[in-house]
Amino acid sequence: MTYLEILRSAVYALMERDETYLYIGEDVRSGQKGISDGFFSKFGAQRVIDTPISESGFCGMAVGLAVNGFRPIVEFNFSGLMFVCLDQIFNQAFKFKFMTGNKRNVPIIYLMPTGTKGGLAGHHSDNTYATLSHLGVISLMPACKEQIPSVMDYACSANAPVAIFLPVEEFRSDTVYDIADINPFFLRLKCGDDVAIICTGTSISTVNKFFNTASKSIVRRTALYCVSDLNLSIKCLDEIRHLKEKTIVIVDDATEDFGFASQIELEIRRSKQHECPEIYTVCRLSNLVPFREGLEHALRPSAERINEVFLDSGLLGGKA
Amino acid sequence: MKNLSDEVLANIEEVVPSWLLRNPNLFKLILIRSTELAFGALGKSGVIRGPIHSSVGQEVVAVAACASLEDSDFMLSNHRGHGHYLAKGGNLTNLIYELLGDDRGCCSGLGGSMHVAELDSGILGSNGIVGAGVPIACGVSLAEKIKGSGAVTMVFLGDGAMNQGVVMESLNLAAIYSLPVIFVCENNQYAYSTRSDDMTKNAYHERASGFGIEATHLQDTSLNQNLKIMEKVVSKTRQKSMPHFVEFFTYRLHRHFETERQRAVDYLLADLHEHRSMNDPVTRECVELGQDESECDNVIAEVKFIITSFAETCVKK
Ligand SMILES: Cc1ncc(C[n+]2csc(CCOP(=O)(O)OP(=O)(O)O)c2C)c(N)n1
Ligand SMILES: [Mg+2]
Repeated sequence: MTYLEILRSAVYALMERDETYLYIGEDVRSGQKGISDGFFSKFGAQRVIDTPISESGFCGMAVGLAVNGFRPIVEFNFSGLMFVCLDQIFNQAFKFKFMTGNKRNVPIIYLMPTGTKGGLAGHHSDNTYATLSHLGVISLMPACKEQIPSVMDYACSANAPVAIFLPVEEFRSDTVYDIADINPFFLRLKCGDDVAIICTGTSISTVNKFFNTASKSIVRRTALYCVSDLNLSIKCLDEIRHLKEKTIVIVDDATEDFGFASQIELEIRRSKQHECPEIYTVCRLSNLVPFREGLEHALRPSAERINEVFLDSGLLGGKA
Repeated sequence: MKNLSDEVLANIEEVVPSWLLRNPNLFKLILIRSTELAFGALGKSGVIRGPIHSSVGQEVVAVAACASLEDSDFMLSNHRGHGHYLAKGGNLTNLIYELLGDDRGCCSGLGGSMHVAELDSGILGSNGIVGAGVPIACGVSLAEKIKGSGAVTMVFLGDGAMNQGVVMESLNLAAIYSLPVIFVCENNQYAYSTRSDDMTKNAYHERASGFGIEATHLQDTSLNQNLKIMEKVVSKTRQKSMPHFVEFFTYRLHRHFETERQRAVDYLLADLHEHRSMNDPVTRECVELGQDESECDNVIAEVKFIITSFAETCVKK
């Protein structure tokens, strides 16, 4: 099964288990994104709610539903659309509980397809998760299908507004990972003693491409971890702080400035002041994503750019 | 000042029959149709990357709406923007380059299908965020009003965009500041898979009236009639410096985007789709001019071939 199919069945199971879950968004009745395929015929128009193109309106409506007995799941067309309704996510949903004396939970799940498979240009390519992390909204990004159920469980138990970012590049992926400890925060995907690559859902496929082209010795000596908890809460931080490798390469397809990779780097530096590992980052170079293939490729993390880091810094026998 | 040679357009003008050249608006109609068909084919074969929103079926709207605009007037478009661009006088060759991501494109290959602009022709770009161009059009027209230029600004939006809050805010802005802006709402009856009737209880032009904006409701059934009406709308907007809202009832004959996968249960109403396909507006206009259908199809195929071959050659080079 693919990432998308597992996602669909996880949401389906949720809807089946508890009638207070409602599925809301544009074109969800026909299931255009593939997440809500078949929901309408199973759960009906009361629970699968097709909306006009009114993100601000229906995100506000979700707040009203959530404070009045329901658990809306709000599907976005793409994560960049958070900018047309951020007030309802941050000022309203996120702050509502606090503003009412901590007396009322606001359980909303926002499903946000994020990033690009290429060719989507300026308005449809963004990875906007650090925006919500910065604002303090609980945010998660399952990097592989194995992780989706645990992320969904965690999002439900949070009883609060939670954004789940869904890397569109993984939607059709059926890569199987052998993960000992599946949790919604931090995954150990591969062992290796010398270098650690830390990836996210938007860079996991790029890192896999790198491993497919790298030398045997690099592959053997490089560990791969994945951060899925976009707020770097304590369970995730504990893992990051205990990494033993002397060199760390952080790969993420969002921009680095004031961003997610920088935050990971900061947390590592804070926790290992005396024997800080060498840290490199491979991130998206700008928030202006060009349409032209070559320019777009150069802007985003790639196997080539990860390889350059190994070469330039002479890691694991890569020449300096 | 426009100073753009249009290689592909010149090639097309050489081969199309004289009855078409004598009728520039019909020529535009056929040009837009052929271009969209070519882009659709190139998208499906992977020559053009990314989603392509085709305006096949809606050509009459673009041509009628833009025909009375001057080069010095402005136009802002949405994601379904190739037709608007060509109707406003955008360069075809540079449009093709743009969709190929070539640096000779109208946006240097940085924008692609959803972001096409040609500043020299007053084409201030198309937009990937539904409704987002509408307030920008208000700003452009306010600037022209302050400058006293007499230019009008036209902005295209879909039926779906009419449910964005920012569009409602913009209608009010245009009304209170008395802006020389024309909102052209293309009601093609669907927003992606969603029927507009399911999402709106009143007519879009009535909404605009509710904001105190003069509104006109048109069908896409006759190019000539619509040309005449739009000429009046444009000149009135210019002379009185007042906003105008035009709702065009139309239909998109292609999928929301060219590579959209049809689902097990299709959202299209089969009867409506068949009826609209049988009454193709481009064919109708040719037939009304005394040409037969096959002649019209041949011209479209020929023009499409010129565009497709040009694009394929560019890619090979
Ligand atoms: C604010 C926003 N919401 C959703 C989308 C995704 N989307 C792109 S086009 C579209 C449908 C637009 O419908 P309409 O305005 O009627 O224009 P049409 O496609 O029919 O020409 C949607 C939902 C978007 N790009 N921007
Ligand atoms: Mg529409």
